Amino acid sequence: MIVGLDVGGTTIDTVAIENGKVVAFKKFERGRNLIDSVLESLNQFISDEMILNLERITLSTTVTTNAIVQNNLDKVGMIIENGIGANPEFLMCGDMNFFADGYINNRGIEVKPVNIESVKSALQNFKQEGIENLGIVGKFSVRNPQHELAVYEAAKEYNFKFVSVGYKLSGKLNFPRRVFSTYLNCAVYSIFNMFYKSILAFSQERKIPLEKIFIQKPDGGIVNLQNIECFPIFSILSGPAASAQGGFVLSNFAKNAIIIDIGGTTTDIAFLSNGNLVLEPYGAKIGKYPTLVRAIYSRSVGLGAESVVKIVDDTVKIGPETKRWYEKGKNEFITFYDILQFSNSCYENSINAGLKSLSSQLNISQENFCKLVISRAVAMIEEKIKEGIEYINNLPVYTINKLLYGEKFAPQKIILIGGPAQLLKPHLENELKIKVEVPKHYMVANAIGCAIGSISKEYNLVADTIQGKLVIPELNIYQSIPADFTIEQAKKVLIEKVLKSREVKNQDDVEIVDESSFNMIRSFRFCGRMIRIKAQLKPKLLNLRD
Amino acid sequence: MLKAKNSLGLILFPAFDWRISPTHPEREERLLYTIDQIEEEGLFDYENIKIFNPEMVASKYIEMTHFCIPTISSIVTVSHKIAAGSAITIAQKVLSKEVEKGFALIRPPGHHAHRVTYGDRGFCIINNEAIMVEYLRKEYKIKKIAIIDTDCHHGDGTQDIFWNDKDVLFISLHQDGTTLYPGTGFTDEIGGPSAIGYTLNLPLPPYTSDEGFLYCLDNLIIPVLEEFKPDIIINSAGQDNHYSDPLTNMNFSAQGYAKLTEKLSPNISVLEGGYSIESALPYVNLGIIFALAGIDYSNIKEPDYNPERLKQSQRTTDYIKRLCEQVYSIWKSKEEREYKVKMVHQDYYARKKSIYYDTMGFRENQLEKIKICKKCSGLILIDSFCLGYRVLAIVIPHDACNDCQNEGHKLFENTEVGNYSHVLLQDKKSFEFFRKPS
Ligand SMILES: [Zn+2]
Ligand SMILES: [Zn+2]
Repeated sequence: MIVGLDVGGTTIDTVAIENGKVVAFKKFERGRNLIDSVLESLNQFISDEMILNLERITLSTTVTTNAIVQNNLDKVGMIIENGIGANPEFLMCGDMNFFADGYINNRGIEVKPVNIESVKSALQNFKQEGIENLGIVGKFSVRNPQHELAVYEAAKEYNFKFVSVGYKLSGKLNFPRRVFSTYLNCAVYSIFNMFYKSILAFSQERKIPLEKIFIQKPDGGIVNLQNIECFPIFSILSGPAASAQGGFVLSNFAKNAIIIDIGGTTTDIAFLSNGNLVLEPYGAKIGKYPTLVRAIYSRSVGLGAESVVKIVDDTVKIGPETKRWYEKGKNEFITFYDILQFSNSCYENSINAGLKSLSSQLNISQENFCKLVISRAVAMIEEKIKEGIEYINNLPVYTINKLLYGEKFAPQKIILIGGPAQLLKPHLENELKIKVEVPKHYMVANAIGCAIGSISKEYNLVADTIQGKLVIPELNIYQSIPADFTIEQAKKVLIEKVLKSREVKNQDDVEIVDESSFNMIRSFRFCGRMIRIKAQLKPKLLNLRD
Repeated sequence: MLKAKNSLGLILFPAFDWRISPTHPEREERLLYTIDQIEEEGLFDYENIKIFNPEMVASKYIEMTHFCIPTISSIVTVSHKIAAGSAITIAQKVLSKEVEKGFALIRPPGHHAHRVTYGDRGFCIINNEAIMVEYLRKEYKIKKIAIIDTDCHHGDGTQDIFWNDKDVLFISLHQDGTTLYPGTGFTDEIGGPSAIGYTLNLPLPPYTSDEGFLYCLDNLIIPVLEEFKPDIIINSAGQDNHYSDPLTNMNFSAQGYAKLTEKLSPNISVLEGGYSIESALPYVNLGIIFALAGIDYSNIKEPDYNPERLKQSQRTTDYIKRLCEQVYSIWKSKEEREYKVKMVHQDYYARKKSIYYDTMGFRENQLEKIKICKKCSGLILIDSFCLGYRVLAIVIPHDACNDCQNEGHKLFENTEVGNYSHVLLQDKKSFEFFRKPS
């Protein structure tokens, strides 16, 4: 049995899957204290019977995201080695920042050593100011982490509570994002730790081994709770990933589609291209910070079932303000859900008065008013869809082959999930002239997406035969290679190392998605090769049966 | 998100899967480190720096710029078509105001490609900027264009194409032709009879440093631009003046390139040469991008940058000062000079040219005749011999008077194919191209 739990804006959705079938699901109200609500829902949903044949529990939470949004963060000191490039002031994200002298270039060659003495006095200052969490980031550190590691070593004698080094967070190039990711990783440490400890207590109380508890990452992958202790940042923004994955599985693995999840407060839109969920090219944006945290590309609209419908300056406005049904009292208000119900002839008396008042303000019939609201809402969704398609089709390509023969993304259908999906379906279909599918279990699709999450990862190998070096930052591998090293050997090494990391069992699960080998010419002579390979694990999602 | 002062459009097309030969300096690896640097710098995250994918150029624009012998398809490769297409795409983004400025980082380059082209010269087959100019004139009715060529090699192809065109001011700064390919670009090359003074050359001595380049900018290029008042400024941004470039002998730095770009403030830059792919290109390109976008570039320096070691000699400084004065006086006296030339050559102005194709090892011989016309810049007739072909190429300029236009068509009609392998007519006025045998 697999249990999935997804924390949404208004509810906590849970689902239990056994032998590829949904055997139980329940929606819980989300209370004021998030961690308490999660634990309560878990305790209520998971029966002792379920625990007997429990394979895993996957949690998609918003604990860390909330902490960031509410600025409920730890104090962080940052050691940043900026090297050559933009002026580094904009990188100051910690409570204290120190810019270290030194530089590693794009090939991972040390151009200037890091000045450890000045770093040490900065660390001393951090401690004196009561800073307990430390982030260390260098430019091009994924090509050679030597400077980050040197600072890490130096920091040991100062006994920081939590230390994070940039190169371990992602193998991708993008220095500002590496800085911000490292900062956030440190800043959410305490809040995540609190969550971690609560789950630990829960697992002990209910006698569920910790190895069976997983967290959903924003790229749709899952990671064991124990393995994420050093990377609390990977627990952010998992909501859109859960719904995208849920929609994907429930629609029987469509090839090119748009997945729309209409919830209580927002509508999330994800894109499925060539059988894969489209990812952010670098990573998620969290709060005001762009990061390297791998994430599913999704667009969000402040439109949901509970969005309040108003008239402002003679025009209809939907959301972003939301109200719950039980807040209905003497102040009548109309939500988007009310409008959907009315226009699908599920006429409800209670909304009559509010609807009448709104439509009379515009001097139109109630029916026409509903039509107007719905077409506004569809237009809001459509705008984001267009944005997404344009964005995907404009991602840079670097080879003639891809430019001339690469396929353009053209979705064939919409997969619509979330509470009001059935009610919205005919309107989307009519106005957007595209097939809309509402799969079974659309109500708890995100919990399903969370439950069935797979391990998803990317690996970047760079081999430089002039230097005789090979790096795979994601696996923390930095090793020597012979001068006649070839791209075939590089592919072999990468697959071997991935298998050895035990993240997958089968060679076929590793997919090479990008490969290139450049002859390096110095003074008109061939003197080595620059080999670059990108691999990813093929997402292996569980097949659901009806 | 980060925001730059100016919105900037970039085309980054490294053509990772294209090369001339396995050890050729114009190779797949050329823009690899630049892209690394740009990615690591997080440039894609600026909300007003946009990356565009290029499109292939339509044959029509090649035909309106070049006479490709024997045919377009037999000499122009896909990558050259994409490079030229990139120039058009970036022009379109700037002219439609999607972005304020544009930079196309593309390969292969194009500024050595002449009007008549038989193949590869200095890694160029077709001229990216010249094709862009045809596009700008046709689609956006742009009249006055300035092309500033800052590549270390003389932009002889661009000079050839706009030789007799007053509406295109062409200024090239380069390492002196006595010391570097293609061996042209002296101060006495100043344009055809109807555009005298609209081609200006600044041959610089080897080991000119930032100081010299910026002196030319302040004392010649900017004053001339202020007087010419172009509708658009295009920079042929070659980066082989860099002190680490393996093919040249200059002492320009990334800081110098950035300052030059900031002062020149071109609307569109197009990458030309630059073969120090590891020590120069990542920093120079970043410097140019920052300067175009209005981002502080003071922290962009090559790891081994040492301004003291790169300092130019007093002799060089003095020479450049005199050079700028001399070239500025050409600009000032252009009307007078044009009058004199037209007095001497009352019917046709002719010049013989011998063009060497370095990459391919053959030579083209040309006789170019420009009609002296009181009403327009004049019909151009080119008789070209090369590789066993004999070509008659007729150009009706975009400002042609009716007489010149009719004369061009008549000549095309009446010329027998028998004597020539190709009879070609470019009617820039009506944007049409004709060929015999068809
Ligand atoms: Zn050059
Ligand atoms: Zn005329």
